[in-house]
Amino acid sequence: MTEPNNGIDRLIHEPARLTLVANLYVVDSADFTYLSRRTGLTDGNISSHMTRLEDADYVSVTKTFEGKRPRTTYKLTTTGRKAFDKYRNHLTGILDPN
Amino acid sequence: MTNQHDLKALEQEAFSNAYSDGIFDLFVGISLIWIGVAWLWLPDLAGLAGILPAVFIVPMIEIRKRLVEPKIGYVKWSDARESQERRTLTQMLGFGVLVLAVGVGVFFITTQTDADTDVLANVVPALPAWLLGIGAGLFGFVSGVGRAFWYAAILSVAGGVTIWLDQGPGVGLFVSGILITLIAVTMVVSFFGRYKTVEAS
Repeated sequence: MTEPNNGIDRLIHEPARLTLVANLYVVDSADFTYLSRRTGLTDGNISSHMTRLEDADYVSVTKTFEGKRPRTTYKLTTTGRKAFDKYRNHLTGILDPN
Repeated sequence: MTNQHDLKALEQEAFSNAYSDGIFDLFVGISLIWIGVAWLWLPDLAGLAGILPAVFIVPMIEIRKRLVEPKIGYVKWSDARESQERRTLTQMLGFGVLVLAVGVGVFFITTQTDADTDVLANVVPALPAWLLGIGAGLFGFVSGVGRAFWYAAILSVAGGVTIWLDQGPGVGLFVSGILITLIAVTMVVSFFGRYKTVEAS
């Protein structure tokens, strides 16, 4: 899901989603608790944003159990990583054209 | 903005934060105290004192995982980070072998040869703390964990004080262990105070 006239990926550009995507980009995968601790976002916020990212195939979601505790693990897909790379390159081009 | 530099800093900060609980530091501090105690008061066991921490390191890792992961969540680091960790472990093991070789060499020179060993004999008591300090510094350099440099400084000063006070190696290690343990306890209390609730994911 992209791009209005200025070419910025609005799905990633939203501040909360940008934080989530950036934190997932620098790791292989992470669970809900990790993202909650790292971003400071509320549970509802994370859930809704991750749903949108999953719907766009930017993120894959895996639900498992660690003993009796549920664990929801998120991982950027190849599509998501490419989209983030494109987003970063695009912003770099805007902010530092030299 | 999230440029390449910031992403590197983000990853490093995430990694450092994941080990801010202090449990591993506590293990290091208590190990140093134990080795120092063994050297000071259990000289017959001094040579074997280092084996006990090595035996407990695997259970410690598992215990830490069970205590910390529910608090800060689960993360699988990138392939690059895990490769770096494997390299760090290999380098630390190599350094440990080097330390052992140096220790054996010094022992050989001071006890089995006619070499003039006065200078060497004066610094030998400081060698364990100094070598561990070098190890801590190397670890800090390769892993990016900043407080390892403080531990390196503590161990280095402890080695110097050992020579100054004309004491055996146990004193420096014992005092270093106390200081590192105090730092670790502060970290543990802070961590578990900060992450009181276990969030379901």
